[in-house]
Amino acid sequence: MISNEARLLLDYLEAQLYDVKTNQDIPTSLANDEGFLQLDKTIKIIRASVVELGNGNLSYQINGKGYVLGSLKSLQASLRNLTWKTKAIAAGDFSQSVHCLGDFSDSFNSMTKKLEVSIHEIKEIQEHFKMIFDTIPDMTIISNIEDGTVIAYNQAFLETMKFTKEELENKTILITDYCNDLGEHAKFIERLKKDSFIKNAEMNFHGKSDQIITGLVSSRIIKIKGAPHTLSVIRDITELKAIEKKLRESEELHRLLADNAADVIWTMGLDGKFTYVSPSVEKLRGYTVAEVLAQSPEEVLCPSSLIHLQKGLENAIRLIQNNLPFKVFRGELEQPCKNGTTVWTEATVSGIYSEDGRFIGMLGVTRDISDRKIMEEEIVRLSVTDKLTQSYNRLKLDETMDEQLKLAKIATVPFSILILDIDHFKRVNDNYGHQVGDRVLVELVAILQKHVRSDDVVGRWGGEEFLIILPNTDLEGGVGLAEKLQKLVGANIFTRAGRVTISIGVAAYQGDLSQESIVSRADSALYLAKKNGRNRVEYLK
Amino acid sequence: MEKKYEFSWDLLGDIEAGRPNMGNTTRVEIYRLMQFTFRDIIEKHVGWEKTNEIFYDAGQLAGKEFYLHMLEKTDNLNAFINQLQDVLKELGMGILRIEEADMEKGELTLTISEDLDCSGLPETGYEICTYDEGFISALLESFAGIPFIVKEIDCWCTGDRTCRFSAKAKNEGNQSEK
Repeated sequence: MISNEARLLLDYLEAQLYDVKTNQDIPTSLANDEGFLQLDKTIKIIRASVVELGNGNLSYQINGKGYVLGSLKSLQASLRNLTWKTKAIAAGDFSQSVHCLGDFSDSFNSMTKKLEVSIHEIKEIQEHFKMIFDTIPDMTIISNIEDGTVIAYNQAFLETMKFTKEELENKTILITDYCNDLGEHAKFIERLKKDSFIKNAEMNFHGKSDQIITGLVSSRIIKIKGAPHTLSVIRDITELKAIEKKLRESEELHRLLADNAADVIWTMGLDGKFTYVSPSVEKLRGYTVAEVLAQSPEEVLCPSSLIHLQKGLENAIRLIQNNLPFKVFRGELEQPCKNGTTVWTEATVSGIYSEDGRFIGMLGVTRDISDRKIMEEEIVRLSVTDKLTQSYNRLKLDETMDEQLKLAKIATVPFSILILDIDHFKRVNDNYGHQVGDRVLVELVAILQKHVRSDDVVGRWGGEEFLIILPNTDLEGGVGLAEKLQKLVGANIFTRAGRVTISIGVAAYQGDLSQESIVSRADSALYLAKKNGRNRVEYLK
Repeated sequence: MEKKYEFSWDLLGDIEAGRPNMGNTTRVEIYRLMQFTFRDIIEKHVGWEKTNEIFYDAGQLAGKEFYLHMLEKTDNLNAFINQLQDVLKELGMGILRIEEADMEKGELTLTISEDLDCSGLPETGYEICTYDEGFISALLESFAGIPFIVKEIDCWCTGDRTCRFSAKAKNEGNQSEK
């Protein structure tokens, strides 16, 4: 049992230690006791200090002395030091560590270490990102999706937009200020908000110099401090677009030229198949482009010309395989037309090489040379034709006789010649004039040509003298034809001149070594015919 | 006043050569024996207040030399505190903790636990770490380049469990506080 006074003291102390609110008065008997009042003050300071520390109030001033209060102050000092260290760590000083809080110190120090490692890793990642960000060769920017404020840009952005770093430093940059079409930008943002990611959208910008920059924009929405931003990589394709435009224009121009050229322009692979043919082919051959593209080489060229193509392809393949340059081919080719005729063309074929020097095909230009061919033939014809009589001239007779001599020597095929002369032709000229004389010559040739074989060659030997070469004909055959012609001419009534006769000398090949030899025999036979009264045929064996 | 001795770090002598067997450490009692016998005799000669001034000044001289010879110069407060904490701990001088530090205002509150001078002393009812006060003020002055006034506000001798010091940069307004 304790006394009543002790009970009151105990109740008072219990209230100080256990109750939330302390309305208890100091026991009356102790109200004036100095020692108790000092103790009571210390208890109340301890109570208040513990409450404040418990509430986390570290700035509470703990007054008073004594072991318990000293320990509370020590705890407060430790917590204050911890606060200070935490602030230092938060500011990036990871050298801080705690050593006076027992197990907590280890936990705190582990946390600091982990935090340091994490921050270091984040910094490394940040540095890597920054390095990558800065070194991306394409313009890269991060901007606020709502107001367009650019919060980061890389070197490529500065270079492309023609800004210096100093010009943009400490300035608010709005991406919308550099968009050429704000409507286009608004649509882009709308789409980005919907899909979160856009790849390779083409947009136009303008930099410092107002020069239009065409960019291929790839954007993704990212969150920075909770706010949506766009991370955009913009590939400058301005130059590419210009080149593309130029190329397209150039292609269009070339296509226009090819399509409208009178010549046929074509490309072909080494397999002999066309890869392109200009529409002018239809005018040349009557076939459409599609028909020509489907044609085989045999359908494109006449047999005599096909061999040129085949040889050309073989040569080209051989050259390409040996890394030698393609040799330009130029040649005349005969091509079949849709209407069954043929057309002569001149083709010039060159090699097509890629930028890296690789052979990729052949380019050909085919020109219609029909007119030229006709002209050439005419020139050839004129060169072997006697102007007055339109029979062959001496040149053709010489050539034919040489051919026959060679043939006779090699193949022992006989041939004969007739030399004929108009009897008393001078009288015709004298009596009727040269024009009538010329007319007699023309009409005589007509008779001769009408009655010789197609292989026989009738030509003017000189003046009123004609020579007829009769291939594959012996002396007997030659004499027979000569007599027939002599009679036909003799029976003919020439314009104005009336009756005209001819004398003919015949000679057949007898192992002659030259034309002079056989011509000389025919000439002698003609002389004999003249001598024997004219209007007759003579021959020498 | 006649003066023969002027302290310099060199005058601490070549301890390694001089104490090849005893080494460079002694017991805390021996340190305190010297300090408190000094205090006793000096107080007898010049009184309590003057003795405190002498100990404060001696602590300042020690702090200045300590900074010069034991610490590496730095401009960073955290680096300075860390270094000081490590050295004080390594030398067995105490566990330094910063409670508050505002160098812009020039105000710091710091504690030293397990203090070489006073931790474990019997309660006397008055603060006794005036040597520490001077020591800390010189360290802060050496670091910051401005003088500091340091006052011990809690001490083992007054019944506390740690020595708490309040440091304030000295300016026109508080120059007389020392």
